[in-house]
Amino acid sequence: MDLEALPGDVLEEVLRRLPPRSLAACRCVCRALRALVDDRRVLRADLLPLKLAGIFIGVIWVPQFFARPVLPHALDLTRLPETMLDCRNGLLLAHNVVVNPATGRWARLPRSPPPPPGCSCNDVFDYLVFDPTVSAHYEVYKIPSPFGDGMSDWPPSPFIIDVFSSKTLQWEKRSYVREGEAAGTVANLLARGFNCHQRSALWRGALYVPCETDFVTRISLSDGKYQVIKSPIGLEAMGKGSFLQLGKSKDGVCAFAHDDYQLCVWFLNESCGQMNWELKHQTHLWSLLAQLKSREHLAQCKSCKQTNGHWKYYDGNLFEEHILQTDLQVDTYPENDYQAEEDEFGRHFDTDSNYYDAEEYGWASDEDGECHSECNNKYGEDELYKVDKLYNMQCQELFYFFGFHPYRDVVFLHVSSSRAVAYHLNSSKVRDLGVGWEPHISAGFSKRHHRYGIGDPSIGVGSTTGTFEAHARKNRADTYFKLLSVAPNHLTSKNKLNHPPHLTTTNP
Amino acid sequence: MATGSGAAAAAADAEEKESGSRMITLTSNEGKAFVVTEASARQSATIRSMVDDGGCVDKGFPLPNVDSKTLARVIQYCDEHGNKEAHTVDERAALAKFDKDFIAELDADKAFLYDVTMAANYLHIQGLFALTTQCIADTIKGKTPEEIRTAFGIEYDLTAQDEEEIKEEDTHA
Repeated sequence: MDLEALPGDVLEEVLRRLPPRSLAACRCVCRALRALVDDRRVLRADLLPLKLAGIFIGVIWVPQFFARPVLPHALDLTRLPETMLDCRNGLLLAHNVVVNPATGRWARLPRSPPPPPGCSCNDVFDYLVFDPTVSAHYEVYKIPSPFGDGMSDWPPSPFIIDVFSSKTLQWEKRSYVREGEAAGTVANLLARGFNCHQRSALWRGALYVPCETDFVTRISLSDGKYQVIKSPIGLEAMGKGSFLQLGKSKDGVCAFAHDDYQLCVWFLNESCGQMNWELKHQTHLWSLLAQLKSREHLAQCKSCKQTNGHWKYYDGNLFEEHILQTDLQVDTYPENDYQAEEDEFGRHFDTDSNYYDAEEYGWASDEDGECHSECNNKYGEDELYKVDKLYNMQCQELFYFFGFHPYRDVVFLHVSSSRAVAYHLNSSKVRDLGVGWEPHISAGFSKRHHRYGIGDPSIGVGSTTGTFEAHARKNRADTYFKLLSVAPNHLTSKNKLNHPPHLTTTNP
Repeated sequence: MATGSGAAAAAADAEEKESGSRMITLTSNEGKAFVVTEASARQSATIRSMVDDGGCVDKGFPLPNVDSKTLARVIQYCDEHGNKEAHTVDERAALAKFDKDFIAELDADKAFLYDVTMAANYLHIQGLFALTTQCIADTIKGKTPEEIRTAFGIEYDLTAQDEEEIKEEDTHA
């Protein structure tokens, strides 16, 4: 008698005692087992181990995948779209196309509806809603910036939003009723400056869309309601140009903001029906930068070498030939075939979300290889090196927010010309992820992008051109001096070393 | 034992019911009768509910789905768990050791293991069912599909289309 002779209920009980990896193996054993695993839903996506393979950076820009050198097996990064409007749990949204790099599939969306009357199409931002643990389907929300009669409330109620659903394969208008107060009048909100695409968050069936410094719209996707959440107290006190970047972190929605001096992370506490931002972390940029090691140090120190600097940027445009081909080969899902495709489209896609093995892809150890403590401050000249480096690095980006780690209290930052770090919020430790990244200056840099380029850290790549560069150059120099002035006696304690002349002069 | 009649006998019966010391007869599909204590039989939720519903305790319970060999082994488990106390650490350790030896013996004979598993399922003996299903699961755990097929003598029947699907799905395999 063999295994298949056992009644379904018994086999189900056996399967429920297996880890996901073995269940995946069972699906490949024979048809009967495969059907059983699928029909009884024993392989629950939400129980799969959560592993981060890498993150996509470059929203409203050229998408790049920032990850370990060993890429997940089937991840096809040769077929990335040229511009990414949003990304969520591994799916990328480009202009009217949703791309799954894990399967290499491109699904073209039908022509998007015109923007609401009185609103320019440049003021409507696309947000992708996709959670593979809930559904294999995705939706695209077109959320307009404030527009219309200056005296009317914003957001309006009902808030009419164009939504594409991969279930129906068409755009529809959905109406959301506001609970609570509006954020303000249109005129007031518009007076506070231009809008840009900011990182949104998806958490437990709600989409959180930030609007400049002013507020966050929390759209409850299923019940047609939305509410306005005021920005964290303290954000306004931060330097000009700082604004919220949202993300899903370990326990829920988090917000990130920084100015020239500091960075702040807030956690949105939603318990008891109240929406309260709690300051989770605040630090001087200086203390973060002070932990960076020089490249020379990283090259020399064995323990640092092992734990640092392994990450790489994968850029679809490096493979121009493929891109050219894929432009001609954009898949559309035939209606009748869609159901079959949809399963693998959603379930097994992994880039941002999941299923990698701890040994291979890391992030399993608790703090994931922070630099060894004995290395800290061992090379005192490192810090001087850094200041020197920062000072001379005038036409490079200083500080960008790459994103939240979805399952840990970690933020990914780009902190100097070519350094990306994982910053651990609990320990305030910095882990160097990669050096040697060169900004990707896109040939196709258009005016449309330019407006997002200024001050939007989520771009992350290649936003220095023309006037912005000059502006940045000036600001940057200011920033360094400010940083030096807040630094805790850093340089005076190191005066045995030869200071570069510009440092000695700035040191009071 | 509980064969008396009249008020006195009924009182004694009730007393015995309380203490669980009545004897219950289980009959295999081959007609062989096994007499067990009620405490032992109550390990099975199926029998327990029949007893509590005032079923025919005297006549015994025919079990048409269970053969004698399997029933004997199942009763061995029930006796151990039903008749022995498991309050102290030592007692629990002894019981755990019994389970370990019990399942190790079963594991050597897969077909018999399945029979016992199915009987445990049919009789709703929770502990035994957990023990045997875990044993089967442990055999599957950590194996590749090919190894699972070998271990359980399963024939490969996936079509080319299935294979294609698996290939596309298991991006992480």
